[in-house]
Amino acid sequence: MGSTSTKIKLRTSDQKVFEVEKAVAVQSQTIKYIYENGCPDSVIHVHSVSGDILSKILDYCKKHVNSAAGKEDISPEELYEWDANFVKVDQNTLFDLILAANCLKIESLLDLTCQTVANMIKGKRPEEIRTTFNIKNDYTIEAEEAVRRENKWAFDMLGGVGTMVIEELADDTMSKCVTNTKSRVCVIAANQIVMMRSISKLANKKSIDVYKQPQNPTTPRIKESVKQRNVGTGFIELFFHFKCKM
Amino acid sequence: MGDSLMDGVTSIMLLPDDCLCFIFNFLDCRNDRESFGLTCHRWLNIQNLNRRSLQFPCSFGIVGPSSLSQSCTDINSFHLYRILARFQQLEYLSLSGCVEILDSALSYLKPYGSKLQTLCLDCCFKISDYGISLVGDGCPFLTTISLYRCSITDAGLEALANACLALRHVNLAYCPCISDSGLRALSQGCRELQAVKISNCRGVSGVGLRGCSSTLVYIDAECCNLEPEGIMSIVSGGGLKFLNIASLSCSNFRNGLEAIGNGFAARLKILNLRMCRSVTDASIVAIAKGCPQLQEWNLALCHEVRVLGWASIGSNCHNLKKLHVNRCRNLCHQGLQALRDGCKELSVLYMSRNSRISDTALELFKLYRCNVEIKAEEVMSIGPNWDGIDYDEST
Repeated sequence: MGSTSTKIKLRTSDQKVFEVEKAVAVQSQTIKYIYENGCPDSVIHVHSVSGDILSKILDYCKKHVNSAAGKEDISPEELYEWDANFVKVDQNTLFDLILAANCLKIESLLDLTCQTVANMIKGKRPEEIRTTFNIKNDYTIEAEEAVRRENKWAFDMLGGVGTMVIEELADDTMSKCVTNTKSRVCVIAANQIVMMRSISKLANKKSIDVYKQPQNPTTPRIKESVKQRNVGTGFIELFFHFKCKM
Repeated sequence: MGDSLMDGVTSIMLLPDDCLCFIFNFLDCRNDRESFGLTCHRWLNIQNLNRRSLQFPCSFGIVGPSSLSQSCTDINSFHLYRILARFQQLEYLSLSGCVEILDSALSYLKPYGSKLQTLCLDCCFKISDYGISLVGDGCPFLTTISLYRCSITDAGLEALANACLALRHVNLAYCPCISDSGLRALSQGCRELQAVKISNCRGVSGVGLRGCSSTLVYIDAECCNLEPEGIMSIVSGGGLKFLNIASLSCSNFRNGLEAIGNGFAARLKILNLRMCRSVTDASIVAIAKGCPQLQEWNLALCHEVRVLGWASIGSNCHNLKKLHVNRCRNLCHQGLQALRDGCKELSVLYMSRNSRISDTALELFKLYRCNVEIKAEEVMSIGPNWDGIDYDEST
């Protein structure tokens, strides 16, 4: 009966049929679109997903819907734990989950699974990554050398054109740089605690803004949350002379 | 760790490129990203596709032992070619500090650099007008360009303005060969121009900006040889919000700044007149009346501002939040009282070494205006970044 809980039928690639609550199924943007634009009574085919994977995905969706709706008494930390356990599967299953989450457009699941794979990559050298995922090395020694050489040249631009990144600079060099600057200086220190202290001493004297290195280096423009400012011409002037001496 | 080796072809290679991109974007450290790319060529491609910004070790954007202590590779044509061919989705490229790079290197921008929005050529001393024309050719969608200390002339600037119609932010600081005719070409050609930095351009008097678009909200003309007509031209667009004319070179400029208060700069929010030693009360009065939206005003070292000027600020600057009066020789207690009694929105007063202000006057100020923070520091550079202005900001 329950008119409040509409059910949706889903048929997988291996002809299994799942009947789920609408609220759970529409976690998938794809299913939501089909349901809202197609005929809601007949079965929705999810061709690219197998029964096993869909079953797992529906578990995930159900858990998240229930926790968001308050139907389950689960704290954010517990949900986080549950998610962490959810992705403790073998690689094949993990990749199938990624493929399915991508095709069904379930953003939070896609993020979770891709983050898991990224965690398996972090901190590893290329040969270790290849071993983990059984990837064939198609680099020649020369090609690899060329790429490594080019990588040395390529730095990201954190922030706008005039932002300076200061890495591991000795205190006295830093003070030489900023003492004579005419302008407000923005310094993004690469997590050097010692340097931060010395810079902040100077900052009090010279209206220098100090910010820690932002987490995501792909964002060329840092929004207000990180509040970057420009390097005035004065600093570049000084730096220009300074660099020429070295 | 639960990682299992699979027999045969691994499933990770069956993931489509966009999934690999998602995974790649969760790697936030440079080493991890490089290791990702060194795994296999397909993953290198993913890494390359996801790079949006790039600068070289010699860039003024990086200060560190790697860039300072040893002479880093002089970036030349070949390096630029490799970088552009490898990273074809670049939107931000900085060649700042590449002092050896020649015009011919920029010819690679046409096949590979068409997605670039921001290009920085600071201190590229060997780039000439021809090189700039190659930039115009190759990057028609450029919105931001920095040419600090470049030796381009008006002809080069004109070629650039005619090719890159979407230009919004332009930095021409310390370009010795730029004059008003180049500026004219820029302001007439690029009708979406928002910010121009022409500080220390000795050949500029300001008239080149006459008739600029109302989208021009930011002008930095510090240490320029501006003329009264130039000031009028600068404000002629009607949209100016940030103006920096600190260190005005011309000492005969006595009343020339009145033009700022003539109504065209009614939207002005931040004004920097630091070290305009000869600016008179007449100009101050005009500005105070003509720019009702002023929020920050730097008058440090403006020695000719006297009681009339200060009184006018007090009674007209209803939105003023920050005022800089460091070292103003003619700020006396009467002037301070006028400020004290007016400027209701004032929250910070930068004041130091004002010889005519007694401790008593200062204490009285603090008593009446306990909500105003008094800071002793001298701030030379106020206002936002030239490349950070967005016209649609709500304020």
